[in-house]
Amino acid sequence: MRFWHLPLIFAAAGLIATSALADDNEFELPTWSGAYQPQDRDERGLWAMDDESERALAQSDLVIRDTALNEYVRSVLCKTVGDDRCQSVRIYILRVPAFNASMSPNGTMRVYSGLLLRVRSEAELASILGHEFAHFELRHTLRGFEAARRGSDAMAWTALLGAVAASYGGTGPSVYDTQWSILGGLYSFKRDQERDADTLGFAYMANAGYRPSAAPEVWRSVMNESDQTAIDRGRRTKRYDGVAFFASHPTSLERADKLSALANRVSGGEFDGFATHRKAMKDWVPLFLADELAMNDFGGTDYVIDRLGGEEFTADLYYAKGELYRARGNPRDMVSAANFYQNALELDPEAASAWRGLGLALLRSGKAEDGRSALQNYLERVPDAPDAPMLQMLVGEE
Amino acid sequence: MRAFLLIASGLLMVPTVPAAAHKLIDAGETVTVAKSDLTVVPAIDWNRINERPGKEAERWTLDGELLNDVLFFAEVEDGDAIFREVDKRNSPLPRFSGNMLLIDLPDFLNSSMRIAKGHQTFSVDSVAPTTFLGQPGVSVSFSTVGNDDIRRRGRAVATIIDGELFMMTFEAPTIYFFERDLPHFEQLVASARLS
Repeated sequence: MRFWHLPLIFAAAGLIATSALADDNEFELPTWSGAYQPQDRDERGLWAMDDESERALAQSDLVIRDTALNEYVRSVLCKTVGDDRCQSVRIYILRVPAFNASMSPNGTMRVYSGLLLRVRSEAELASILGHEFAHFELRHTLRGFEAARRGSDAMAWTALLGAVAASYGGTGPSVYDTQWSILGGLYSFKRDQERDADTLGFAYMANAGYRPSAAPEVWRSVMNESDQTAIDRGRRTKRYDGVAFFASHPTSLERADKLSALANRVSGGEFDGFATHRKAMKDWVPLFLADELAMNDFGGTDYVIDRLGGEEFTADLYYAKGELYRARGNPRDMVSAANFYQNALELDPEAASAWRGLGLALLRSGKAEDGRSALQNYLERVPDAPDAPMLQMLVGEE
Repeated sequence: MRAFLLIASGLLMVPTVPAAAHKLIDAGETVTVAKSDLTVVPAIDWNRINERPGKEAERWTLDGELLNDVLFFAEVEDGDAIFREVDKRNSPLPRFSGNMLLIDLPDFLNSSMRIAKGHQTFSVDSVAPTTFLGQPGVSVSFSTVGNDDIRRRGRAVATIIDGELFMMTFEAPTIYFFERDLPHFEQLVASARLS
């Protein structure tokens, strides 16, 4: 038995040596080929569709056109992938309360407001933008399109042949096997693309000096959020099909571990950029949180707020938490909500909306007098509030 | 092969119910709405969409629900959603709670409409006291951007009687339709009674 060990060790050492060799170039950026034009008929067709959809997008009322926010997101992308690459991209920030970003072949990048809300730092944002840009640089959409076309053609044929076979008394299983192998082929093709995009994404981050482990962190947080949503709704399964981003990006804990492994291997920087991100998002967090609150996802939104707050809650976050609990509306929630509004007011006594929330939570807890006086405080600060006439009536009630 | 094609085309002809079958509601007649004690007397002809938007709900329109959408919700009890669930697993609707204040209703409507109608944004323009069905009620003006990327404006009038919600809403594109049809909605609201 002892003799067997030696070659095994050599073999193992050889493997390590090869993979170490590969590692040297693993995170090297490919040469940027500059402005790219579609080459063949498939690609021109895909671009034409894409141009059409971008024209509609550019007109959309959902696009957030605020200069400062757009410049911030662009600056993070440009820092991540470099100015040359960045020039080929048009960024559209969409007001949609879901975690998602995507990039299409003609250079249109869509970034959802729900993504901006959920990341805490430049590095976390860079990890997602970089990953999407990597799909673009590697031209995955085109390859996905071609594979899907080939796949669906073949599937159409197998379905047809299967039906013929069945009508002649044939059996089905082999046909289903064929269908599954095509789906499986598509799936593993996507997984290959994911692996390549991950590697290139880390290369960008390392090149830009961002802390690479921010990538698995944001990935895990989105899975945690989805789990919290499920737990709160009394579901036990860990499925992530409710997360927009994961509809086009297969996920698993295994994948998060792989990301961690890549993050450990790449020789990246240490920069997070918490402060710059917080500054850029300051005026937007209340609006984006309000959009989340309307989605009626107590567990998920609670998780998002807690993660954003971390060790250091702001008045805006306490306020959002108050709104979340008040909307759920159990008697105990009113007590919690009142506490959160009070926390917000301790940090910022001029946080007018917190006075409103506090007043309404107290009224629903049966503390009419305190409630009315809190609402009075709100009305003094915002006499022209849209709901002032209604609140005035509540304050006036004896 | 011909037999196979015949079978295949036969399979395609699945009997379908028209998606938006409707019934004409004549002007001047007292109509009971939303399977409840709520009645209205329309001054003009309306169309009732046969498919109910929710268990205790009813939908009326003049030119189609995307152009002018009137919804009636009556006797909504504690624990009920106002619309039919669209995707209960991933985005369940909020539930009405009998101890809600009238001023909580705009937020409840916001959340319900975003999820059920797929509105991307919903902003409250004004909330004011009103009288509805002879009771103290709330009147809400709002603006939305739908998932068809159309800007709309809306009006809701609601009251809570013995822990049950009664509400009528109207929504129409900001361009042309809202201004044109708002008086017709207000007429319906004014004619509403509990029998």
